[in-house]
Amino acid sequence: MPDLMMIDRVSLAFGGIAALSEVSVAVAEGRVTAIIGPNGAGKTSLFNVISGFYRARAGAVTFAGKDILALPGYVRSKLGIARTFQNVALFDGMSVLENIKLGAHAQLGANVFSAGIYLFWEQREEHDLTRRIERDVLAFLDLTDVSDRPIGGLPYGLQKRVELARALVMRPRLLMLDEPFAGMNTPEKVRMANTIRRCVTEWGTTVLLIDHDMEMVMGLSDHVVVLNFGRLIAAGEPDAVRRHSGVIDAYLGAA
Amino acid sequence: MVSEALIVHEPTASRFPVGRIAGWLLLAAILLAFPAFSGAYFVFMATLVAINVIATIGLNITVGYAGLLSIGHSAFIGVGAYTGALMAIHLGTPLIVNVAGGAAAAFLVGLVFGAPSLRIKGIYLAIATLAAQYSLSFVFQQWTAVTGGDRGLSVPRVDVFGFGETGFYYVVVALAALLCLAARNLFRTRIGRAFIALRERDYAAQVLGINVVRYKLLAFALGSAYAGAAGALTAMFLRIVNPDQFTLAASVFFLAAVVVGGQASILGSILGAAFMTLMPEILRAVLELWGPGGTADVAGFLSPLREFIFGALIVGFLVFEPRGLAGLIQRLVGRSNN
Amino acid sequence: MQILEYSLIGIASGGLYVLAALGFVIIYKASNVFNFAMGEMMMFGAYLFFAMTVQLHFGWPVAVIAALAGSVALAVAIDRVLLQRLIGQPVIVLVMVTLGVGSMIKGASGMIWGPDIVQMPDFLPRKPIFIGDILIPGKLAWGFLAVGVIATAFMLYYRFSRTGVAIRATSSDQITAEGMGINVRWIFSLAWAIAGVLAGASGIVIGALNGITPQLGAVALNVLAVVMLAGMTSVGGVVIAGIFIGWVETLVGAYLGAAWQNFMPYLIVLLVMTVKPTGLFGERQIERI
Repeated sequence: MPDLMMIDRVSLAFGGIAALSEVSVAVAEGRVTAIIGPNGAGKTSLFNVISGFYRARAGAVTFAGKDILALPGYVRSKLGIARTFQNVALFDGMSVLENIKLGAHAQLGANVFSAGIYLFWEQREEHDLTRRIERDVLAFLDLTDVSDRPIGGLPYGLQKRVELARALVMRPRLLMLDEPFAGMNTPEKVRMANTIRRCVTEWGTTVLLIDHDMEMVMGLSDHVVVLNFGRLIAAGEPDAVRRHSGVIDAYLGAA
Repeated sequence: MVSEALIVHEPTASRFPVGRIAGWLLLAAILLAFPAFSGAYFVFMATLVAINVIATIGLNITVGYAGLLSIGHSAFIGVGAYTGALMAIHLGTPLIVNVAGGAAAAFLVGLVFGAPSLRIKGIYLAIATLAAQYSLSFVFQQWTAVTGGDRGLSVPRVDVFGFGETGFYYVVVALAALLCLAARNLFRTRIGRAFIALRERDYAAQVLGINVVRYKLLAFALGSAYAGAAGALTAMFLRIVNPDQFTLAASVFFLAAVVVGGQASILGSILGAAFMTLMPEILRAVLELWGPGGTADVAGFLSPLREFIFGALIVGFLVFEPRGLAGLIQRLVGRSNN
Repeated sequence: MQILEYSLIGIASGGLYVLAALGFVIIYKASNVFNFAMGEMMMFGAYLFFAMTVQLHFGWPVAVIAALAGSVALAVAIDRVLLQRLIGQPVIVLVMVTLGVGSMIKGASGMIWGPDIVQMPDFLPRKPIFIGDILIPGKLAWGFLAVGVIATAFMLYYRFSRTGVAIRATSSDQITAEGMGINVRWIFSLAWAIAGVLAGASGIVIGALNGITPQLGAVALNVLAVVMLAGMTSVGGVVIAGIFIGWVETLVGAYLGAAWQNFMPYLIVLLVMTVKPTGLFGERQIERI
């Protein structure tokens, strides 16, 4: 499998303190790559570099052959990079369906005038989008029953699924998940893992994820990368990484 | 009007909502017949309300929906007013063209003031709009050759279909209705959704492919364009434009209208504009009846009293009823339904 | 020689902005709120002083203390009664509340003291001061001196006292500060109280120089320009920015006219936003996501 995204010796610092030091990760197309590591290892920082929230001090990130670090953040998502956040970033003032519709923003064509008039073409576009979401995403993630509910009162596990749905509407080439299993009970975790797996097998999505749950990560991933104090300390297949002495040290804190 | 306080997905099942259509027709009939059974004063006030509805919706798009604080709204109304007036005076263009011109000018001036501040995170727009308030006032006052300085401009009388004031009322009401509808439609599409996304979490908006700076600018400039349209109408209606109409206090007036009516609600904008426009009139009537005698005293007392009440309304609603009159009504209706 | 005279006057009147600007910064640093009522708080302090001296015939030392106490009470009331109820709401809501409060104070003052200008008793010496050949109006010089003393006292307090440290800790990281046992709500109130003192003092000095009207607060909006120029959070920068803006204003006023004078600070604000958005002395904020 060729690599969809290459993270090449990326370094990041906050006011002189290194958050990432020359981290390189190859994300293989059509596979699940996981980044693990203790708290503060720089996992989310790496995601934020890819999304464009932080500016890397050095290094490059190539996505589908394009160097993306020079592009503005919103353009990166248009290339087909979707992501979710550690503490679910949904919009409380909107319904589940409206939230999911936002995921398709870049694929729609409405401008201020067509939107204000909202006849013919524009109405069609919204109807088609609603139809498509109902058919493809709501059913897939079992959200049909709650689609009209406001986000506010929904349980956390459900919100995580809505956020995943929003990321999936655009049919991303790369799906970045920041702690998809956090705050879930075991049945919810299993369900989430199955959903992620199905995105890969049925839609050919490439997945890059961060999580702390070793069991879920090891079971789900094809490739695991371990960060500690902003440095890459191991990478490989789950079993190999599990046996790696540096990883055991990092997690058990032994010297 | 249907409130869009939260964008609610409308079920597509009922294709033909008879009750709702009947309601709209009734409302249209009332607005149409209003001048026939009310005096000139009431037609005048109704026209003023309708103009203020347009300006308030504009500010609500910026503040309520997109979460960008503008405290210089009246300056953009002023841009529209001067543009419309100058077009009427020098070009003799028809009313509707002047309104479009006012809106376009305010849109552009909005871009000028929005561009530097909206690139920065935080509520720097508030300061930039304050700067707009003072710099535009400066222009209105000092560019005497064009704006007429402190004396302002007088605008030729507009006679719509030979109906005079009543004709003007119809034009303004129709325009206000259209602009309400356009705003509501906006929030059924990706544009409006993007505005709300900015308000709530702009970093998540960016990840969804929304150009955050561009949409913030758009929301602000669009709000300014509504202000400009309202300004041009005000100029044509009052037939005078001068710098005194576009002060910081006037901007606070519209902010109060948004907060009192209900943020992020079209219905709220209508209620807020009506409430804020009519309240001072009622206040004046009350003061003249029971107040400390003498009309001069009343006028001197009224202005600070109004300022106090505008402030108190902003504070009171934000603390006790953040969803405004629209939220209040929705709660009452909801209760009676259950 | 004339430009030197204008410059000295400008520097002195710019100094008058510093107090209010510091009050603005301390609230912003502690709680991230732009306090648009700052100008009205100044005006209120000035009117209290006027009421104590002219209307109630107290001596000016008593009046100063009473006016400052009243100003602090108002500031703490705004924070406790209104803003702390709204903690957790978007910042824009809090800012709108301060705008509303400002309008209320202005309206109330207009109703109580009327729209016309009132003069304070002369408690600052009128005798002009000469620096070489240059004449500085006495009130302005003494006002500048008073402001200098208060500003210095504030800066020392902020830099070295335990509470000053606590405020700075809160401003850099609320959650960590709370973890260290700092009562964040108390810090907010403290910041408002200090801002109350600064607003009151600044109102009295400005009122003594120019007289008091309900519009006094509007002049203080220039303070926002100062704060913006300094970069919102820089306490030291505010002093320099305040003096700089006063200087530019006076020169512009002298050579171009009064209308330009009021417009200048905002032009500077727009320029700074365009060229250096973080302000001249501001720090780049790193946002955690």
